[in-house]
Amino acid sequence: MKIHQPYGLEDCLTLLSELPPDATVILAGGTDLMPRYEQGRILPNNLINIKHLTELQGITETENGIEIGGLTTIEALQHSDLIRQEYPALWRSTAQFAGVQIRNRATLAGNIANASPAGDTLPSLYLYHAKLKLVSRHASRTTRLEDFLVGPGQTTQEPGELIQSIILPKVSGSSCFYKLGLRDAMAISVVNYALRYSNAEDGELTDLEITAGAVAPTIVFLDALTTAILGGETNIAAWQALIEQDIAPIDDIRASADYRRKVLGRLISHHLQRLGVGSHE
Amino acid sequence: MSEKFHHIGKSLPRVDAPGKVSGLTRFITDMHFDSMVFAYPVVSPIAFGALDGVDISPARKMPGFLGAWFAGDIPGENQVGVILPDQPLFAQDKLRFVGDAIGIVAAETEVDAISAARSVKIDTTPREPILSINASKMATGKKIHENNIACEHRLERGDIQAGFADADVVVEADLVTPYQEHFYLEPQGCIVVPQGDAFTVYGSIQCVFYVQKAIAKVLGISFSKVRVIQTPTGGAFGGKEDIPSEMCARAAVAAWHLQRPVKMIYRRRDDVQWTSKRHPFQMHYKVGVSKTGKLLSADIILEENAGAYATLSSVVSYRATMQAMGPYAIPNIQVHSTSYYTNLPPTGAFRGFGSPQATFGHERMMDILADRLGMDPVEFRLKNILKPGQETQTGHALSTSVGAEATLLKSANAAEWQTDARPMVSKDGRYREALGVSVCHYGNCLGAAGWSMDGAGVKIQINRDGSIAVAFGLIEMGQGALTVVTQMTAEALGVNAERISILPTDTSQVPDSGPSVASRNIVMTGNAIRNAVEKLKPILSTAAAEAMECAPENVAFQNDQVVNTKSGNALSISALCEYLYVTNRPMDALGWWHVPALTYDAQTGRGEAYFTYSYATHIARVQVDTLTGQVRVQKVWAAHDVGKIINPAGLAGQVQGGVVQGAGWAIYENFGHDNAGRITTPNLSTYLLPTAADSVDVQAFWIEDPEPLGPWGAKGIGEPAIIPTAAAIANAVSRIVGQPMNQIPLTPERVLVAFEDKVVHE
Ligand SMILES: Cc1cc2nc3c(=O)[nH]c(=O)nc-3n(C[C@H](O)[C@H](O)[C@H](O)COP(=O)(O)OP(=O)(O)OC[C@H]3O[C@@H](n4cnc5c(N)ncnc54)[C@H](O)[C@@H]3O)c2cc1C
Repeated sequence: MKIHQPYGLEDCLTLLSELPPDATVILAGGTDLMPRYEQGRILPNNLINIKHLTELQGITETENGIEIGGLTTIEALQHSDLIRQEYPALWRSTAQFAGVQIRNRATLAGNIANASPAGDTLPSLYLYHAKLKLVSRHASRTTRLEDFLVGPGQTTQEPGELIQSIILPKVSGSSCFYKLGLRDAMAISVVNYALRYSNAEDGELTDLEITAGAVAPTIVFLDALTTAILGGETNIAAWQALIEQDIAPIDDIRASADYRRKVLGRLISHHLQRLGVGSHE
Repeated sequence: MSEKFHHIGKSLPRVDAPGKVSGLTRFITDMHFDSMVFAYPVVSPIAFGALDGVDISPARKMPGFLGAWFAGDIPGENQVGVILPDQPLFAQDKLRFVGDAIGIVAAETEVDAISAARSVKIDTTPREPILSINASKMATGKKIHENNIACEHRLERGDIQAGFADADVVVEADLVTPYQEHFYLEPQGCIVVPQGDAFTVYGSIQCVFYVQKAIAKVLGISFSKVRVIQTPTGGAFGGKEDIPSEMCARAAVAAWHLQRPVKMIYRRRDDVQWTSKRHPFQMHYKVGVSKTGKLLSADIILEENAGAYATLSSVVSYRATMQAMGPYAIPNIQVHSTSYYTNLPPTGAFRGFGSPQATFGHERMMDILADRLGMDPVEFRLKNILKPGQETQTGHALSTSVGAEATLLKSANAAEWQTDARPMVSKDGRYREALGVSVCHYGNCLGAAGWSMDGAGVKIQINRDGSIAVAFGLIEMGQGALTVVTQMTAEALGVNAERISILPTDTSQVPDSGPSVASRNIVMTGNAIRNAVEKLKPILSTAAAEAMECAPENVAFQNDQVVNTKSGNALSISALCEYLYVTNRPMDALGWWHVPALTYDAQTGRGEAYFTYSYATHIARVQVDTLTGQVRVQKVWAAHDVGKIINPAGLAGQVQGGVVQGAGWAIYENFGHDNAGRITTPNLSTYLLPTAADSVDVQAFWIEDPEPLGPWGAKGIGEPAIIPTAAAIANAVSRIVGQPMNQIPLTPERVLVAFEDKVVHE
């Protein structure tokens, strides 16, 4: 195996365009790749270490929102006032991500490219309608995150492409994130969700969006539920079935599909009730 | 009273801490010998079936390949069973679990050895594996060994039928406890160094004398040709009791053939798949009480999953049988314990050794009974708890050091135990909290079943410069043995701790001291130190009297000096040691202690099962999230009767660690396998240990009810620290849910289902 250490983004994209895509892997924080390598699940001929590329670092405010460099670590997001104030759901997700050692290495682009249904930053990024800036040697394009992630471990990333940054538009209303893991740190989500809402002056709910993770091949919007609620469906007993319309959980080592279905419904119903939405009849 | 002691009862900082903190301690993985090679086992890919043949030609083509050896290449006996001779070093015809060793491959590098071992082609005829206690029991015609029972134990005392006839309330319940994987930080590892016809073995080993015996047998050489030296060991918890024997013996076969040092370290994934774990138990308890709350009769069936080989099952089963009804007086009892073979990794020793399982059984029963009687769980326990002069369930009248009641009262007071069983509910109704209590006893050392090897030694050697070297037959595995051995030696000799160095445990230093298990170290080594010092003291006193020209009666060892109590003159210890040397006096002594004879009848299980017991009560405050079923332990009040405290800081560390490990077993750790017998939780992302974020606030209390046979009155603590925790948590969760939680781990899913059942029943 050959480890490449490109000098800058240009150099990196050139390398990527020249090396055979099937035998080449991009290494960022390595927190997903190294365990896979250790287990013998990947054996690339070429490893391109991008961790030091300055072009992919930093959080910048733009006219329409913010742009987060792909190599920004989870810990850096956790320490950003901008993220905490403007994107609290994303900020919460970084607080509940792994443990501090992993957060110091793990990158946001890595979490996205890894395309795990349980990736903890993903429900918030969906909620904020994130876009990705992808670059390759001769081109660059912008795509919606929803279009980029197509299944567990599957993305529409083209050979030679790199996630340069994540673009978040300005958002209105309040938002938050919740994670259920089997312990208080270093736990992969059994279910997670992010929720955003706005109220009118009189307190009436004017806007509501909910995304959920680890309950389908990719992150899902709980559209059936939110549309019904905005349309006046306040009976909590009806919510569970609405939630189940948009999810398709599986059994795995951490929990059964049945538990995931049930617990997601219970958590979201409880959450909405705390916001003053819903009643038992 | 503690004024009398200079070292006992003081928190001497851990003597092994500087090396471990600075990184200077050299573990087995750091060690290297000239011309050393690496080995790795070839293992069964199937859980059950016939071994038809192996083809090593792919391994031969691998770089650095040096050789592969199988059953036919073993110079001595192909047998490594610790107690029963049921385990071949290399499987010959029958394969009994995924990971059953078939042979060993050696290569020049570690990576090459692992690749070569994995490349060996293994031809098998698989059979459907037996993967549970019930499947093993039912299997007709399908036998893992000659039959599927690894061992049985019985206890019969009084007349249980008469007891049940007198009882006002009789309750029956089934209880289930799971596997537990040790997950010691340092995986299993060893180096075997051949020197002609003799072998020196280094390794992360709990029982050096077991390893010596195993290698001698497998190579067909005498014990004297095998020297085993323990290297600093990064945790064991029982997991390095049986496994190092087979592991080192396998490496020794390669070393015998190659005549080069052979190193073998298991990869974590393999370590989890191949090595021993805590026995899963399924238990049926039937217990009768009078309406005044007196225990009258118990009929208990214990069934254990022994895995593919018996290893230590018979002694685990013995302990669980002897302690099945806990530290309570009960006139009529019958216990029948059976260990069943299955096609899963062998289960063996794990901190508590059958006691956490039995305690889960009796302590859940005590709560279920209290509930049925409408009695407070603490009050009900107090009515039955063992007091001095009363007999244990095996009919052993204990007259001293019975601190069970004191631990219960202490922790109940500290936790402000509330008789009101209703859980506290958070404002929004989401969280509920309650207390749960659990009491245990733990027979110190090996008991009647292991009495013949329940002796241990120490060698104290005094050097001319006044430094003192101590060799002991048990080991440090992280529990703090080196520190307490230093303290006890310093106390017995009346010298400063700085003079004392503890040597690595080495079979060539002291006679066979048995295994480093069963919370033995303080009791065994402490008594052996006192015995050695009894031999040395007269020599030292006579020499000192001679040097100071006074009568030996007037010589006293105080504050690291020898003092003439009449004149007040003093001599330094170094000067005395030099004087010993120049006057040609003996400068060393071997100390020995053996557990006194026990009167015990193996047929009925009646008698002195153990010479004494440690006692403990844990009270846990537990919170359950009613939305998700998640369980969090907020606090544990832990009271332990340890006889006499040797090192308070070390003791607190043991109890904190024990509680967290117990909470792990009760809530998080969910060891799994698939239908083919392959482990599905072979790493830390699937086998969930509690992390620092999940650790428990522990408040510990000490009862010092001295044991006359213990050194300075001390009893063991290593295992009692974990034993009551799981049952205390399950008792609290049962109160919260309003349903008996008789199976652990208490995963969110299991707890949520119980909540829903409760709602349906209401
Ligand atoms: C102990 C542990 C705990 C964990 N806990 C959590 C958790 O709580 N929540 C969670 O969501 N995840 C968790 N993870 C998973 C992991 O940390 C995250 O997915 C992390 O964000 C991956 O980032 P990385 O930089 O380490 O990625 P890497 O391992 O370097 O790469 C992951 C994938 O992304 C690709 N990639 C990386 N950067 C780019 C880029 N700029 N452009 C294109 N492709 C790229 C790589 O080629 C690779 O396929 C945990 C992992 C470990 C080991």
